[in-house]
Amino acid sequence: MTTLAITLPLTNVSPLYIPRRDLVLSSADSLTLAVTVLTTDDTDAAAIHVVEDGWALRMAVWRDASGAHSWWGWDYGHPCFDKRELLWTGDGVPTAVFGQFSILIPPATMHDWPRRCGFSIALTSFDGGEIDTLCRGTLQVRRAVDGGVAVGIGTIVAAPPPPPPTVGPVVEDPFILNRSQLSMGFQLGGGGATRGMPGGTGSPIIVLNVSRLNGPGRL
Amino acid sequence: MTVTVEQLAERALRRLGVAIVPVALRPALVTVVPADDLATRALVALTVIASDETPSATDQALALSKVQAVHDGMVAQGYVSWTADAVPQAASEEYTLLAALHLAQAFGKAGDPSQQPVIEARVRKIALLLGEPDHAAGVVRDVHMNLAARGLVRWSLDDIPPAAEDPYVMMACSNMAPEYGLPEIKGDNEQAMRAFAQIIALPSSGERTPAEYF
Repeated sequence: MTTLAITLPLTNVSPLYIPRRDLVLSSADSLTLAVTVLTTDDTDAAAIHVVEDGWALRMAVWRDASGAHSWWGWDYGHPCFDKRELLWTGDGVPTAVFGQFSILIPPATMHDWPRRCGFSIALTSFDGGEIDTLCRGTLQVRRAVDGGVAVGIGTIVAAPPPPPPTVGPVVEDPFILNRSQLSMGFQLGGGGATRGMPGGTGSPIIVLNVSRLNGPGRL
Repeated sequence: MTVTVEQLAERALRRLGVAIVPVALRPALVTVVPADDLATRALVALTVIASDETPSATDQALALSKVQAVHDGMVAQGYVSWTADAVPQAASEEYTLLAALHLAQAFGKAGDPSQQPVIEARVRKIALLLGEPDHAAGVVRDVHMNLAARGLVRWSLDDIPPAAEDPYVMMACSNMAPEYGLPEIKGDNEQAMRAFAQIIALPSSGERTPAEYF
């Protein structure tokens, strides 16, 4: 489960650019994309208010590169990704956060997608009369083999922060071993091409085996 | 939680050595001093009156006119935004010294005119710093807008990735340094632009990119 959050302004900073957001995902991933739409790209900008019968947020993914047989996509010597075959669309579901939508790409959806896709996120009016592209970008799908769905997985939560260090008397680590609890053995072997070892080639390597006599421990 | 524009602005000011302590950790400066008080203080500074005496009406009027002249001079130079009756206490000592400097001759005292530009420079710096947090945040916004207008960002001001924070600070420093009479830190802009280019560079998709040779 990949969760990404992006913020998109409704009004572009420049008329020359549509805001660009690129994504690199694994083909085994599912993706939850939290999209927050603000009126402008400013820190005091208001989030947009979506009324029920007004606008919807839609993500579209298309095949961007034309693949191995790409002889059609030429534009004056530059590779032109001209297939634009629609692969997937998904609508954003408004969340409890003002101006935020959640778009879910379910597991296994990206398995068959090409390695390079294009995507856009647009506000579309319900009647289809108006479309406002909020961002576009490249979606790179890295090849991955998933191990199937695991059984019995629990809910993923953030681990609680570690407790603050306490200041107090130093307590002896029960796993610290003293000399009498150890047995040691030496193994001599040919040095070979060991770098950084004194003596050069042919000097013996000493392997120190340490084990605890009264049970497993650590040094 | 991404960094705010204000935090980036404070880091830029700290990097320049202009404001070492963040605004949130500084006590708020809200006390202002009226022109009348400054005039009286100037007369005390010149030892025309003792600190526990009340000046004569004419002396006070003369001193007040000098304070007003000093203030108008500051406004004319574009240094200050406050009024003569609401001079921040942080700048009150400088106003008093300047007024005393101009009054000295009238009371047969010697003043050192060479001190005027030094004291005025202090007022300028105080005025700059008092309005600095907002101004520096504006500079960071300008940096962002500039990058966005060139198609060089993949984020908004609300989700600046941690990796891009330092380049923002460096570019803001570079833009603000001349305002404080500081030299631009050499190579900052170039290093920041290189960092931005690296941050937004996509890894290769592995997709074959055909090329045509003529």
